[in-house]
Amino acid sequence: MEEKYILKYGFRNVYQAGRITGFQFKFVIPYYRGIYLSCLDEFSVKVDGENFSLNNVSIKIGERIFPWKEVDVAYDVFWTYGDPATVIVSKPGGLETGLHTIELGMFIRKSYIVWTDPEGIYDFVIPPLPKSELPDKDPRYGFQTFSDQLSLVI
Amino acid sequence: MNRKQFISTAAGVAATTVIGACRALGNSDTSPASADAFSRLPAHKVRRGVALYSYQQAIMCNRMTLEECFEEMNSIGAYGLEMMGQATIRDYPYPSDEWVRDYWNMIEKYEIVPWTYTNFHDKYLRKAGMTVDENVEYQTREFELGKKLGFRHFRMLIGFPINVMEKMIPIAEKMGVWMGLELHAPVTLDSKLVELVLGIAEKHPEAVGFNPDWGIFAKYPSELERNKQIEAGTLTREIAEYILDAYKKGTNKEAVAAQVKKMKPKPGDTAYIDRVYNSGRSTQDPKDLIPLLPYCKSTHGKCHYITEGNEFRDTEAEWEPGLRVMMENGYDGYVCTEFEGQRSYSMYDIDELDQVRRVQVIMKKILGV
Amino acid sequence: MNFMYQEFLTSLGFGNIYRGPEAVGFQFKFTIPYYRGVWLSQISGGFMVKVDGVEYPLDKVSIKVQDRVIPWSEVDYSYDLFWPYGSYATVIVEKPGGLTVGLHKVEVGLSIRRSYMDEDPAVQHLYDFGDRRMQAPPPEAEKGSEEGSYNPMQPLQTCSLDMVLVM
Repeated sequence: MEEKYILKYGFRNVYQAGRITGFQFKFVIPYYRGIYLSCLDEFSVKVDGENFSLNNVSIKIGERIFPWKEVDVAYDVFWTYGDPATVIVSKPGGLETGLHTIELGMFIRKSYIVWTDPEGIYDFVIPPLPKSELPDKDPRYGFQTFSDQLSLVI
Repeated sequence: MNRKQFISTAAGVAATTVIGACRALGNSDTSPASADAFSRLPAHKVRRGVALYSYQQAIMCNRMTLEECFEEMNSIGAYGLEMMGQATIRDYPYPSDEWVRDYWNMIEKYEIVPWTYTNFHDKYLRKAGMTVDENVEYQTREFELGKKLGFRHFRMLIGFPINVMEKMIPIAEKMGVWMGLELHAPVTLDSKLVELVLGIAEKHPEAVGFNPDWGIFAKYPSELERNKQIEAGTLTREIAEYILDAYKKGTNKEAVAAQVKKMKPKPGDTAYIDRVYNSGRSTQDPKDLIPLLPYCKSTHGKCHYITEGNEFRDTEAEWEPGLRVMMENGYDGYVCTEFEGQRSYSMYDIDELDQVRRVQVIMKKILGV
Repeated sequence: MNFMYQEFLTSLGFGNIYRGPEAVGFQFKFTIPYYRGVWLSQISGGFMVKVDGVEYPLDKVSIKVQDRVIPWSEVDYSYDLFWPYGSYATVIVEKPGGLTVGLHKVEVGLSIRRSYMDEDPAVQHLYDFGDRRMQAPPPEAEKGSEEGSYNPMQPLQTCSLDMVLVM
């Protein structure tokens, strides 16, 4: 795995009834423990510079597939440390055979980050930012990005 | 009294390190811990352990199984186990009976003492947060799970809501488990947080206390980080050494900055002044831990880089003052090594297993066991 | 960096062995420097254990595979004991007092008899690449092996690792 959270194996187009409906790739959690899937807060998928809308993105944990909009309520689904999750992207026709650059971004809500302090007991609170400013902008707020080049065969 | 009952007693905990030392040669029988072995026990009750966090890359890369982690702990005499349910338990939070049975077989085989369960209280399962009842239900399940695996100490990470902690007290007391609030840098020992939780711990010492993280004693930046920057060409060795030296001597930062300016610095050299001077910004004096020690049952021995070669030195903190405070003030429990350096560098830069051994050598020389 | 066939020692499990409170020896582990498992007897051609430059006689050495401890003298007969690919073998060395706490340079050398290497010179004429296999062994490999057991086609594969001993 090393620093390669995006895995080389499992990258392929998705076929349904003989037609290519999209593509998929796998990644392992860039963290030292597993999480409940709902703690995956923000997500971005870019391939060869093209950003895919999250409406077209699903995440598969074990044998269960969650469209992105259901991830937020999947708080009873545990994504085990070290087990790959599969990102499935709808894209009629899929990707071409050959090398592709995959960029993946995510923000994981962590229990120990102190965002609010009603009791006034922490002197190191991270002030909440407006939602629009959160992802992609400032790695201090925990948004992580990864990219790698992968070869697609079919 | 069988072995398991025995190790649950204080004397048992103390003796475990010696019994565990009796590894058999080949297939020959291990002799039971002799009277001689018991008489060698030191007067203090500070014991060595390992947090499995330390081996995370090896585990992730399938280079180390859970059994091998336990075997390694046994072979370095660090019998106290700290683990995260969410990193270690197959099918968390509902492991199969088979997994639990295998776990106990390995615990027995390698004479491991389950000591501390690192507890992520995921209060942000929903973006908007959870209700107090939901949090209580979540936490109760963690207690049940940890207890099933032999843990009675729960390391509650910073951010564990105090109102939930209070709700958990009667449940913890009934279940016979203890919540140790993690004291993690930049928390200071005189903070409002500590004051508030100390008030609760005084009333409920069986259920609430502290779990200090050795990071609060860190004073210097890791030397590996420095070496990597020098290798990358962003930091000049002479300037870095000058800054660290001056800092250790107590030279004020402005004077150091003025001197560095004259040394034709790279941007990385100038930035290193802040890095060094900030590294001790929230360093705590181990002596300030004394009043809290009666409420500490577990300690998290964090480190990032122990020197290589035949020198055994933590480049960020001194171990002796902190361990002496614990030895001399009745700390009764394990210090579980958490090697965290693998996250800062490529795994090829640093060997987790070797680093844990190195910090354990430091501890063993001070503790005598 | 882990080059599969070159770096096969690990500090996992490195430690003294105690009988009661007394250290009576030490142990360390290594994985198979090959792409498959072998029967233990296949390594009987030669073996070398050196710590801090001191070589240990093989009559003080045992090898543990699959929870069975085999003294070196019996390795050649252990053709029913499989050493699985990827699993560790433990080297157990008798040494009263064990090793000191701290850093040690551990070296191990072994030789695996491959099924596709013929030892009977009579059959070599069947293969026209036969002669190319016969290469002089590196001189240091010859030193560590038992007299008479050395097979010229199997120089010892050696590995060295600095390991920290805690207890």
